[in-house]
Amino acid sequence: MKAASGPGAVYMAGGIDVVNQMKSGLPVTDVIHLGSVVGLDRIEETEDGLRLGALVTHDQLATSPLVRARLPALAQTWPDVANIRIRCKGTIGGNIMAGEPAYDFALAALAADARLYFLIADGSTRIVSAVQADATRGGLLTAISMPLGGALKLVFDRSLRPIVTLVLGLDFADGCAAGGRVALGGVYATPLVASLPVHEPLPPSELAHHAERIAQEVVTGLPTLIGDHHATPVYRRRMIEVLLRRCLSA
Amino acid sequence: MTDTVEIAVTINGRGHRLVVSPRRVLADVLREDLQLLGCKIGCDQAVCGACTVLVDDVPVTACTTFAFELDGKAVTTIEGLAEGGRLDPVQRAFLEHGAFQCGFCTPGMILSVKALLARHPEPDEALIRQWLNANICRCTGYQMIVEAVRAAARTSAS
Repeated sequence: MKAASGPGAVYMAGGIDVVNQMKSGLPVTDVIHLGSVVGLDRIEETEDGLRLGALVTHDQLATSPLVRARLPALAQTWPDVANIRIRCKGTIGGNIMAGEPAYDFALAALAADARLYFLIADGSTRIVSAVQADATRGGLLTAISMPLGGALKLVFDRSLRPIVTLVLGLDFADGCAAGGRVALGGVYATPLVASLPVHEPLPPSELAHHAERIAQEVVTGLPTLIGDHHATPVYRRRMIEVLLRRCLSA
Repeated sequence: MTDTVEIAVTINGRGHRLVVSPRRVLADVLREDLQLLGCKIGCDQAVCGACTVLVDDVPVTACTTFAFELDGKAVTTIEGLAEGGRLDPVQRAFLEHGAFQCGFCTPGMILSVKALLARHPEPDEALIRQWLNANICRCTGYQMIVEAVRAAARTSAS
């Protein structure tokens, strides 16, 4: 339907971004409202992990018993995301597709190396990693799958918003941290994810000892950060290092 | 995009069939077509909370909600709270605690509190402040608002 409607057609989930962008002059010819599509607001556990429908709202994420049980860091963080009105209307799929630099669920998906499920024009499903460069290009996002089973630990630090938001995703295997990613919001025009330089599996008790080295290596590899009225690039870089070290030691 | 959309919506308990442009937002329909001026427009970008109304008892920003989204739904504005000339307990609590000065934010604030108390009948101060953190008041400093919410919660519980 979107392809048939031409380049001015947009999907609309919760709609907050679409409305604001139209007020700012976005040349929209057709709005494809997804609000009544059945089944895209489900949260369920599958063999791949926790599967979240793209129309799951932030409020569902904050209050779902399943999310609280299986990914408690998400459930603990989300009551503080945005405000109650946006949590009730805004969706996690819209959050990813908006491409905004500091949207929280987009960062969580990057840090978790979530799988994104897209319905494409021929009716098939394209499954991509959230960290893939062109992950959100093409198709309709229908679901997001997060790893489970103790394989993933998420740690959020939103204390310095809007200067920087940091989400750490640690991959565990056999009880040891085997790698992971850090997703950074508010420091580039779009969210950025960097791999953690974990050279050997580390038991949780050892992570804190390696936190300083890992944090330094991550910031050394970052491209130039933005500077604005909130903070200079130098300050942002320093704070990323501090917050990452703290999250790794948590 | 089609020129107009017909929607059936209940507003403050009364059914309406409205023909609206698909580009119109709820705040404009309420204010301009229905003269429900308690829905204030402050920031016009879903931040300040002045335009908060309830849609199926959920708080939403009317400035960033298309009117067509309301088809089949029930909207409550501040004008719909009082019944038979008697103020709603939340309105009464705001009045008794002096929880407003200029009053611009008050309709959105009260409707947010209605939604809060519907979900959490006995909220603590942290939860009250969390729910009202994006209903911006430039006059009061919030303390009397928080006290009014607690009073309204006590009234509802008794």
